[in-house]
Amino acid sequence: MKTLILNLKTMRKIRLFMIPVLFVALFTACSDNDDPAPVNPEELITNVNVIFTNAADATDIVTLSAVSADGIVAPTLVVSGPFTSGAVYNATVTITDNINNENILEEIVEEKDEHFFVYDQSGVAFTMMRAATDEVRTDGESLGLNTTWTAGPAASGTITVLLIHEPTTVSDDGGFGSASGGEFDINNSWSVTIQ
Amino acid sequence: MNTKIFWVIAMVLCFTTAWSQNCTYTLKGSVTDFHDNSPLAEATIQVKGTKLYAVTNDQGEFTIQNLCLQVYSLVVSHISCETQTIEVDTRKKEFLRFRLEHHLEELNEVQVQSKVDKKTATAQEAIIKLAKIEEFSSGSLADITNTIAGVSSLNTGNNIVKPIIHGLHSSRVITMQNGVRMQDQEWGMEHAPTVDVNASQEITLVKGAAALAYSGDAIGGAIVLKPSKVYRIDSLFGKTITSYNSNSRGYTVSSSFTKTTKKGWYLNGQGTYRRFGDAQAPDYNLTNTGLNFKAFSTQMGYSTFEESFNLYYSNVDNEIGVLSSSHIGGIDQLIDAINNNVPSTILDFTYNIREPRQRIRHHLLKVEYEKRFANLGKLTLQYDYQNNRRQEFDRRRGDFRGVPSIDLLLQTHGFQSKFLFDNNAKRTYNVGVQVQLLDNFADPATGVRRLIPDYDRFDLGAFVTSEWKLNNDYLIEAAVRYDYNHIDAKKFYRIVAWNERGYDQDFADIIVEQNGSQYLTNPVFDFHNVSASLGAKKSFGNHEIALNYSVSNRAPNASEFFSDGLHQSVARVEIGNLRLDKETANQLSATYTYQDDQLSLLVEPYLNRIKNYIFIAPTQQGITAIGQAGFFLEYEFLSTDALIYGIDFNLDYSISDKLSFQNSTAFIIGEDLDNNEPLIDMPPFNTRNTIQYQNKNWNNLTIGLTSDFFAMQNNFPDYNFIFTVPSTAQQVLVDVSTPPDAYHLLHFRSSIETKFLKESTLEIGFNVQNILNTNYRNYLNRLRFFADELGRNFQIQLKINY
Repeated sequence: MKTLILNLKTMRKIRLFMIPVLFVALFTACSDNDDPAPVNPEELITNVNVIFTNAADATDIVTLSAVSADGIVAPTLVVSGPFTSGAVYNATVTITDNINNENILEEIVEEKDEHFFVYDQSGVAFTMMRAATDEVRTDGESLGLNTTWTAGPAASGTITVLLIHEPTTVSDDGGFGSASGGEFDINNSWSVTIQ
Repeated sequence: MNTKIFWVIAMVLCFTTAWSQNCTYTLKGSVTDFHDNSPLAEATIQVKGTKLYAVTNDQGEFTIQNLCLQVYSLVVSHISCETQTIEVDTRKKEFLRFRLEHHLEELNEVQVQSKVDKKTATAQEAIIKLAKIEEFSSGSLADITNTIAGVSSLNTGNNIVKPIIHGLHSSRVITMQNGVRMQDQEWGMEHAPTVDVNASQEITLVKGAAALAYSGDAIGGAIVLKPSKVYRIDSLFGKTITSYNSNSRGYTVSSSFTKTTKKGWYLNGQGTYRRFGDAQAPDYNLTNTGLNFKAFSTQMGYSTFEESFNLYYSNVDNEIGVLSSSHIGGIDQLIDAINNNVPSTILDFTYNIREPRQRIRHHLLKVEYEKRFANLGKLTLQYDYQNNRRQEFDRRRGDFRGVPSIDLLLQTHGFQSKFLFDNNAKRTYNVGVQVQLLDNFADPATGVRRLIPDYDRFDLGAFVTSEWKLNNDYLIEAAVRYDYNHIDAKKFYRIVAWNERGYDQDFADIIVEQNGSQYLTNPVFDFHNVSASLGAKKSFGNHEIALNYSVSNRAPNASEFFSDGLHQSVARVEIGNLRLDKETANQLSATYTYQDDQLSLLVEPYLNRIKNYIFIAPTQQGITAIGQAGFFLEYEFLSTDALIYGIDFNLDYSISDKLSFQNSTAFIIGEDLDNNEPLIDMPPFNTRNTIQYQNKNWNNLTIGLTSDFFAMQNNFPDYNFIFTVPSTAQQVLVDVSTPPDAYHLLHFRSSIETKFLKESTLEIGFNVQNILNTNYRNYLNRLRFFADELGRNFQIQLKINY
């Protein structure tokens, strides 16, 4: 008799322990196996060109290009040729996403108050200014999309182009400009020659 | 979980009285309040299995006659306290002195002696009492656990703070919220626990992996949060804490109410709102470091000694600003930040939170049922559901403005069944099964490649823990646990990256299909782990020594396996590693305790040997290009054999009945055995001294001064690298390794209590943190390259119990 009671008690306990097993079976059965959709980023910048056109000679064009095939790998930097010492160049910038076929520059001009170009040089001596045709931000600073450069004496060095997103402070002083804060959308340095 | 909650029982051999014939013994004893030793009248002492019982008189004394010479179970109960059973051997002729935790009258100062509510018997543990939790009402969980020796925190700015126990953090430290293992994407270094500390009555912190009843993979430790307790009495009471911080102009309001009935029904609700603006370093604003925190929790149920039922729901919604200056565009700006010593963006104070920011929402629902079986023990059944959504917002352009860059939804179903065999107080067993099913979904609408992929995870654990009381002085504890982890992910890899990492050689079989420039892969991992723990404790007089050995295993988490991409808020690329294997930790810890009326001393040395210790560190080349944006730091997950050892020290000395002194010191060494160098991110030496004056006769006036010293971490691996700046062709040494200088902080605390209205008390606190407005940086803050830590803060806190 006593054994029977114990058995019944044990049975009840076993039943209680079965509950988790049932839950496991339930949830395991629910797990799905759908494949996730791929994400193809749409904020890429694949191609950047800075095109310098000699104001006196429309055939003298120097292009600084940076091509990142998928917008993620390091870009290949190419300079189409040397600058001519003493020449004045009108420079402009193109920025595109060739994967999604988007002109990123349009977006940047639309949101010019949150963007700013800063230029830098090393080893070469250009003088430059932001062109009258340049886009002007609400704070009165020129965006730096259209610029005018005068090439100095023959030398080799680098030109750096920065596109800064949401900088804290900006200044277009000296043409090259300066900024603090924000982060870089474009940060490329090309090796150039003036001859 | 533990019915010994409210009870502090001290059995003191004091006075004996007995009549020398069988079943004519008389047992005498007393029941007093733990706090002030005042006698508790009307407490019932029942002798189990007999009709004998006694009720204490006004002096708290009781007498039970006609007892036999044998071991009895006494059931001691008092209004507002949970019933407790304790064993008495009448042959020992004891006078019993019970000292009870009497809550309703002492709601404002709950002191639970650590002996009683320990989660393990022999491992290193610390219990944080309500008073301490309330002190940090406007802070985070890690701010509270930081006060324990050997526990520090890993910070991302001032609002994202996560606990480090003995040098270990993230997945190695689990958080238990009301019996539920939190699944809030705790694997991320910049993911702080999604909990509201104000919802907790008590926090227990177990250092190391010995608490196998919770998990087998918490090789760093477990933080166990317990919600408000309920008492069997007809009552309605509540509490409100408000505080204001001058630094960050932050305010916090936290309120709770509890309705209880004598029959055991209860209903409890609690909410917290916290709004912080930009914090301030001594010399500048820390722009975009605000916080908008909302939390709500409620529970209801029925609780008696035999049976209890608990339904619990909590919701946390936390929006956190990340320091503007840390959102940088690559290595050039990092070099600038390191050289300049001042953040690049300093704007006027605001409460507004802009990008970069995080928003985390966590829902937790739990149902628990407990049933006590006579002469056997207690069964606990529990189901829980968690819904954790994490969104990280970066500065974006065009259509993606305001769209998160990371949007993860982690859903977890948990189930556990436990049985505590405690009919024999000298030998108890706890047996249980736990199951968790996790489903992570990474929303592709972000338009950013998933940093963490979609995955399912299934965890199954089964454990047996046991405690043997050999006699009054000796105790042995043993536990064994089996865990099965199954991870099934669906992840896209860029083919370029896939080949770069050599996965084309080793993992070709997991490719499901090619999708343009990406592979869809299906990594599946299975882990079978056996963990065990063995400990012993011996008491002799005022001294107590405990030793504990444990072996535990942890499967790599989703971020360690799969991370893949740019983490904008720390400007670094993080790369997971499919080749990682599970970590196996062998831990040895010892605890020496000395306690007398004046002095309490705690010395805790430990040694932790971890095979396949997983860590994140800069890659060989240190940097990688991200398209046109230039170069970023590149970190990858690696593993090594590690040895971590150290010692924690605690001293509490009462100079007089009003004046006390406390010291808490921790020292830790972490070694990377494979590479024969120190481990990265190990907490520096820290010592904290507090002198406190407390006068109970002057409205419980308390004044304390704390000195907090952090040494410079001299043991660090050198991951510095040379970077050739493209614009100038100059070579620059990028110092990402050297820890900041040592620093010393002073803090002041004061509080006073007063009766308020009829049945309420009001406590007013005034505190100052960083009195000297010291400039310092913290090695364990991931944003240490960008800004100083917080400057002086004046804090006013009001607490009303009603």
